[in-house]
Amino acid sequence: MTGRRLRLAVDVGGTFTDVTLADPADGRLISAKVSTTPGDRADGVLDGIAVALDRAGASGAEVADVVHGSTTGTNALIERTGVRVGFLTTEGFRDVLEIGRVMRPMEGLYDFNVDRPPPLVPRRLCLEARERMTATGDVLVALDEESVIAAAKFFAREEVEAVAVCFLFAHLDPRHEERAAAIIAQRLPGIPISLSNRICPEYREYERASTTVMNAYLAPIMERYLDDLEARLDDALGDEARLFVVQANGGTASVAAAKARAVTTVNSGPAGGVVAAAWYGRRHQREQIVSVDMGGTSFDIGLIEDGRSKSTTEGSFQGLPVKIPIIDLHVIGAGGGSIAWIDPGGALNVGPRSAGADPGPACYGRGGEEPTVTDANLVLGRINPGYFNGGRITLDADAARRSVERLAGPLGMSLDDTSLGIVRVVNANMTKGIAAVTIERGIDVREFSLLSFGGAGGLHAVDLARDLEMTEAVIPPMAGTFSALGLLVTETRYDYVIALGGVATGRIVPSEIEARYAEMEDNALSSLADQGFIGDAVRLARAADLKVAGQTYELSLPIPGGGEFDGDTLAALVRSFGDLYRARYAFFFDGEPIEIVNLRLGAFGLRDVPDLPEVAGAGVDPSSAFKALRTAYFGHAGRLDTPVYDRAGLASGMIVDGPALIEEETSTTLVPPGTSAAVTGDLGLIIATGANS
Amino acid sequence: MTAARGNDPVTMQVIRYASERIADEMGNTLVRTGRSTIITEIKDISCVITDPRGQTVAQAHHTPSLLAGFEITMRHLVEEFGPADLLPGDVIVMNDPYRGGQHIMDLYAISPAFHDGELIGFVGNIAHHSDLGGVAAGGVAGGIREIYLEGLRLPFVKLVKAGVEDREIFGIIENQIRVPDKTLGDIRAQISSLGVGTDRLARMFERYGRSVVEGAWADLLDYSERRMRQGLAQVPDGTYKAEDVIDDDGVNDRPIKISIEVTIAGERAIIDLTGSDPQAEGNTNSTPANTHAAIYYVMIAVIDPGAPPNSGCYRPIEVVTKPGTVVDPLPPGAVAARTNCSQKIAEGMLQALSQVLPERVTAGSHGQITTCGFGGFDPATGERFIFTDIQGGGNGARPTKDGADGQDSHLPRFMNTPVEAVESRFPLRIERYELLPDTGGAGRTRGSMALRRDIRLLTGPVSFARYADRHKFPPLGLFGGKTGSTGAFILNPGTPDERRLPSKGLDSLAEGDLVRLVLPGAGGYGPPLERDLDAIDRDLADGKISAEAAGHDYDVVVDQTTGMVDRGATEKHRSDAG
Repeated sequence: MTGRRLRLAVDVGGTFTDVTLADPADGRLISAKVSTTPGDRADGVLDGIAVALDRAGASGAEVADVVHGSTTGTNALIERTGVRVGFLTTEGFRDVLEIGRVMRPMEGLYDFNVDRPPPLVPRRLCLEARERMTATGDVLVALDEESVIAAAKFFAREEVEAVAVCFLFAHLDPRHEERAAAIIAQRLPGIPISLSNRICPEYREYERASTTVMNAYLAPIMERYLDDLEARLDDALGDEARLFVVQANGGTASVAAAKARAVTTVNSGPAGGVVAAAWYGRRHQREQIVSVDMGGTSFDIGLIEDGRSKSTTEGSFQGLPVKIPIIDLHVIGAGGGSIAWIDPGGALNVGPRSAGADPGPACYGRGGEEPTVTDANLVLGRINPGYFNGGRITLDADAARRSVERLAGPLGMSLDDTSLGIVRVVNANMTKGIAAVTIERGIDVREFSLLSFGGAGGLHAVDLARDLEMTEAVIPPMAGTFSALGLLVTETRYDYVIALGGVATGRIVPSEIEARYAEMEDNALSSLADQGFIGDAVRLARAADLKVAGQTYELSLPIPGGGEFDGDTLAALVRSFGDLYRARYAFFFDGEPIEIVNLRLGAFGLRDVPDLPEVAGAGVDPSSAFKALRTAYFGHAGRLDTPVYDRAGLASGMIVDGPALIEEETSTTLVPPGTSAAVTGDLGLIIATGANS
Repeated sequence: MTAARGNDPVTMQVIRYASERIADEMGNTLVRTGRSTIITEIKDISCVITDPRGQTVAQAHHTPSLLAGFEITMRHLVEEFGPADLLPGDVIVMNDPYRGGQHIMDLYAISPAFHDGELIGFVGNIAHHSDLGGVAAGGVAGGIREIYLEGLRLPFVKLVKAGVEDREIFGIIENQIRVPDKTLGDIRAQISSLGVGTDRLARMFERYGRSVVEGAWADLLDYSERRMRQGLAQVPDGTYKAEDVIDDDGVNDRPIKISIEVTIAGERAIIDLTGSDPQAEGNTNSTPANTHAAIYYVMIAVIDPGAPPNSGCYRPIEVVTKPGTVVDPLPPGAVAARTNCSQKIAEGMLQALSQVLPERVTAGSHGQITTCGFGGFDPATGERFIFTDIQGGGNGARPTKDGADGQDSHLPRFMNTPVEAVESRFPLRIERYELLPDTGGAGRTRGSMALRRDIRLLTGPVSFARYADRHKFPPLGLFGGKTGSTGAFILNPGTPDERRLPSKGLDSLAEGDLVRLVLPGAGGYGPPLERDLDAIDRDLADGKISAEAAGHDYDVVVDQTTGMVDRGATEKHRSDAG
């Protein structure tokens, strides 16, 4: 098999860009890790692809598609470096973003100093248009075009780079928003305009405005980035290679769709990691998983219950509401690049500041002088200075020691103990982050497996699992680039919705419902066909939102059965609503009138999912994979001679007793004293912590 | 943290957060199955889990004003109902301010929870109803003289007996209320929430075993107590006094004094309110549950905001009140407008504590909760509607930060009702909802701005019941910070019919009328002359203060062309003046 067959996945992180290449012809999986290039992240993407192709001995002309998890939107939001947005809303409601829902943050219930994050648009750039729709979608005040023109002129003078428009009730009648957009486009040519009726056509003006503004805040950045990337990929791979962008819902979309809805790309890389973790867990009959991705800059925590990642439509990014379906994720600033420092009270702290990719940790020898977690791990003997990223980065152990020395003096501690202190403090930050999404939500983390990946994940996994009394840490194969592998198992996903506005089930005409679904399915099939998904590569999932008449909130249910929507389907749907309602809310009062609010369709384009190569068993003794002995520091156990194993040399069923270090190109796993790692058939490592046993 | 009862600290935390998760899930159930916007949008609800003695062990993350007083309610309940009187599936309701309730509209629903046939604790929730009878639709009229006029007052009543609804009691309630489909639906939402609570609690006991959970709960209460005691021990001993006033009680046009004496003695605190004025003729009286809530809230926030909020926190705090005063009224005193009083208790507490812990308090917040009830008939359906709207806001300036504009403060933790939610359900139109410039008290840090909401009536007559405060006496500044602005209710502003309506009252309005609700702006902290000029520039650019106000409040010269502070001219002006 030749021609365009290779599948590439590229996950851009804060420090490294990871690439995984799958060749369906021979089942090979090849990965590469290169530095992220913050100036222009596309440089790193192209670089990583070139390295991966080179290793595969393949050319760009053999690439069928590239799935891309981007960090560009996330970073812009974290660093507040999105563009200058002009916001236009209905007269009288200039402050909709600042007032929000007035609620104090949960963490601030008794704490005066906790605030909501400030809006993405300052008050000076929030303007009003004279217009008004009513709750029935009728025009109360016609759009005063002069007021829109005045706003457009102001935005032009203020040199805004994007405009967001959210008018009251625009989800019911988009005409005013659309007309305002046309007027603004005339005066601000080339400036992207985000309209609330397109981004988030649902009621509650603040949440809709917040989502729309975030889209505008990121749109020019994503557009610039994706346009440039697509052009350069065309040059490198030819324009038949298709680019897909991962979304926060864990599915992928076309470039055009991603540019139109930039807000959906936020947190997309980590969302791909959670999808991958769920997939890997299912392979090993593990359905309760905390997935953690520890890279250079951030630590992303996902939760998988009953084999599924958690999704929400009431989520938020950086504390600002987004009313689109997203995978529930918790991100904290902790990673290999996190910088250690001493506060005025004399206590040791780590992060959230990161040395990032440039200059990177002191040991990279690129001018960084402050000690990072990676420097500490190097001093402790846990990282091989000659085999970091497969030897492509040579680490400067002296520079690492010098950086840690800066803290050891003031702390009055040895170099080893200071380094171990740095590791323990960052571990405490990470366990607190895991506790926030598990223990603090009432989930007993002790019943979960910790699935740890990312370049720094293997070094800390067992310590984290032990601190949380979790029974095991799982380090999947290709751990250092696992998120990129995960991108290859995502599906293309488009969501459709038709709002019925609440029709009593007694008044439903099944054939009409069938017609509405058929309408959505026609749209979905043609969109997917444009992307090359036809026949068996297409999956359609019908769902509906139902509620008890008089209530405000709906429950979403899959449509039972597979056939046409008829009277039996309706009856079954109503029954399953009652069952779910009772399970969720304890009581379902029989005879309550029920309404159908929305019809939904999820349309999925399926690709061939790569399989992980299986390795044959070769006994339990791992000595055939032994590389060397290295002294590593373990606190009161002191410096121990620690055997180092080559992960690629391990085989199914082997047991590696700690203390041990298992090296692969893009990550290292620490098996601490008193624990042992069992090697799975796909070269995963399962390390029992001894907790709860 | 130590583990006196043989539990390790991890187990204590797991049980703590698992209990809080159950409380949050109860709250979520109540919001999602409720009918009235005061529940579904504003979220004026609370959920609590207690041990069998009624000590609060976990709270959902809702309004502190309802939560911290639950302890008082449960004391009454366990006195009236022994374990032998309770069965699985029982739901007891109560809204009697004189039995540990808040006001008539806040209906408490409580269920005993069982595991292996034994009482393991209680789950409870509180929901503000859009109607429970009384003189005014919405039940939020100010100026009412007797509790009998405020609605149907229920003692502890078993509304559901061993899982079976009592039709007779439901019938009594249904007969007294204006919107039975909404109110009964909301009561059933409370019942659902309790069902979720008892189910999840029993499951938790099944998982961990009774002794583990009870041990962890006891540890948790001790732990909170210990944290509060440690915090109190670091505060210099002494007695710190302050006073605040309520504008009026809606009946008599004179201020009502709240007197606070906070005594810190080692690891204990005594809060003495006995110098407060006699109870009001109008309904601005604060019931004991509400008074305690205000005190506990401030003490946790100032002494240790990280302590798990439960009954253990309250142990080192002694509250002294005199029956028959505005903070401890006797029947038949009316109480609906109690938040005018309880928010002042919080304000007075903060002023008193500012004398010893200046870096941990805030300047004066808006010190009240603007609560309005609109009732009438919807011309589109011919059916009666009641819309209760609560306005949050009014954050006092903090030692190092401005008061957050448009964020709720102190005892409530409400959300607003979205304009699109209001207009989809009621014959009302919100014409403006915005921040008002030049209303935040000047200071080194600025108080938050006032909010304005203009509501047009699309039908008539519509009853307008309301209570609010700080319409006469503005929120206070601290340490040289200036006062904020006063609030107002203005009928038909900018027309020949314009007139101010009293802060507490009940009126009948006509179709086409416009009611403007203006909230008070909060107080500033520290001398305005010490405010960072960049912060003044930011406020100028954002239109949060005008050039004139910058001139007289902050003594700066504003450049006419740029609209920003002219540094040189300001320096010269200040030194010339100084």
